Amino acid sequence: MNLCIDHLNFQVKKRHLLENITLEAFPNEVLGLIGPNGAGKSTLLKHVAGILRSPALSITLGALDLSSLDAKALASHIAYLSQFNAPSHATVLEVLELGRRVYSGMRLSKSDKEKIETIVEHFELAPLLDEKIETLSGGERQKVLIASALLQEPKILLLDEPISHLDPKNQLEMLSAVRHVTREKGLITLIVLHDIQHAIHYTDALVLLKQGKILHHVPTKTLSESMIQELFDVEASLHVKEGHTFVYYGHMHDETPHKHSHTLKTKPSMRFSTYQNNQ
Amino acid sequence: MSVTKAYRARARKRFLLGSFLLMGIIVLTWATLISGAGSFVLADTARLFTLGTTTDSFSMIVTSIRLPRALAALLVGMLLGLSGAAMQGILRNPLASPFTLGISQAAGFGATFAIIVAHPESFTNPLVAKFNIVLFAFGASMLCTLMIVWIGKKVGMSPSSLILAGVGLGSLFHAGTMFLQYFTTEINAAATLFWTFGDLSKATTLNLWLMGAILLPSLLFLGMVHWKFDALAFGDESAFNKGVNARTFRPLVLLLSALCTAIAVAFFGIIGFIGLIAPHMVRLMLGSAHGALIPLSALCGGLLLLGADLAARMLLYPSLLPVGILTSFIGAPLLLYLLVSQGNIR
Repeated sequence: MNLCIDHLNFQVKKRHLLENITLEAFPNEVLGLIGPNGAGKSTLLKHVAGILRSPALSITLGALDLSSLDAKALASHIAYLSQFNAPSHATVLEVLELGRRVYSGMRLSKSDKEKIETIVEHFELAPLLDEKIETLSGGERQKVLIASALLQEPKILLLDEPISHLDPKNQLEMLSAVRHVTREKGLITLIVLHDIQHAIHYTDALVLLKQGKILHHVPTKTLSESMIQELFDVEASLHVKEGHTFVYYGHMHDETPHKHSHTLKTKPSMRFSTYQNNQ
Repeated sequence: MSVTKAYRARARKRFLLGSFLLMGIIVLTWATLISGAGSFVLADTARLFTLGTTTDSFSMIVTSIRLPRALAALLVGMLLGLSGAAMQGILRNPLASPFTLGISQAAGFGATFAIIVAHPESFTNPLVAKFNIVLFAFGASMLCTLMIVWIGKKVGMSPSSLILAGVGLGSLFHAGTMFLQYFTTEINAAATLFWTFGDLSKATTLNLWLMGAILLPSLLFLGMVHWKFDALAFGDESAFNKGVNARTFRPLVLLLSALCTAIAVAFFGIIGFIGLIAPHMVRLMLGSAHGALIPLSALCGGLLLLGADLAARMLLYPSLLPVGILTSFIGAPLLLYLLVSQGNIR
């Protein structure tokens, strides 16, 4: 079953935040949403999650019209990890339990508890069960939230900048885990990423969003330097060396040179050079 | 720790606290029943078991005064504790209570209006005439809550907007109360002031039944949806993805918890701090999961008010201190103590 978004428009006070968004995502696919700040990436995810609704919205999963479902029905199809969570004093076990409440409500069944047990083993969360989630490190917290999301047994996984507060090691582990569960469970995963290099290595397809519009929707392998430049208004180049892909950012693209006499120039920087090239 | 062990450890802690609270309630109820004239008469314990079979003065005093008073303390405390836990949960605010949302101030205005303006003789219906203060206090509380919900709906039902609306309305109702008090006679002003003290001697069969009829379904409902409070703790968006729509759940719980507060306050006046402190005490011992927090906050509220009422009757005997004064006297320092000793009130 594919996820289809058909001509999604969203505006707030006459400002178009999303304009004519039409896209399709597939099971087993990690679809990366990339773009500058304010491009509408999070807004798009919130529409898929049902948190934001627009008139004449059409978001379907196979034959199922997601835009007509209530919160409870949606939660059994979609798991969404928000960019920001209010600080909570819940323990890890309680957060995991929340993943099963959509099915069982107040009293969890034996099978719910078995599923929690399985995911605790899978994510090695046993030593943390009694800990308050606020006391965990950023990496541990994200792991618990992903585990809770997976307990919802979703068909669609929505992740809004899930690695933004993590150190490089945890970033890699998290993205690797996301790709793994997407394949293992046949999920449709939409992930908002800021880092192009991460996007290149951990997604199957990319949606390049700018000012609420889709510039490109391409297989990740076909992402080009010109697309990155068009998206971020910075010069960028992709280099493959000894099996590693590097992204170099150059000076700022000045679209209206006559208005700006000084163009900011930065030295090219090499970022995260330890990735294995998967192209 | 395995999941099974974690479940067992949690169940054990909940059972221990629940048992302690129940034992405390039984002990304090017993103490209330055998206390009179400033002292406890332990010998009366045996006579409690013969209640209803004899018609002596002890039996009369217990069944018509002490037992209703003990039940009123228990029910009012449970209603306030339950209401406080629910309000703090849906508003994600540790300071949320009937006071914060203006519900108590609204009840005070309603009662003041009934005492000063809407005299019993103004009504042809004898029931309305008899219960004019209760009806006006209850009506004003619910009106205040409906206004909060209405304002909240206009601005997206966020916790901060609801709290601000409550603070604003509370201030408005308090100003209305002072306005009426300023222009009335000293006797009426004194009557309105006395009403706000909170006094459990007004217990009757009718108000006990009414409170029980509201407490039981509210406790059952809030207990059944306990996990929705846990989901809301992460924010409305995250809660939505766990199957909880804050825009419909929040006003529903707000109305229900206001109903619990309004019925207690309308009959017995303003009793402060129980709704605020009972959930905090349970939270400090068991954590923030509402599966235990909701029922045990109700029990803790009942226990606190039973204890406070007993102390209010015994401390300054032969004067009977209105329990509302004592709960505020004890509640405020207790809250400050918890704040300082725990470093953080959640």
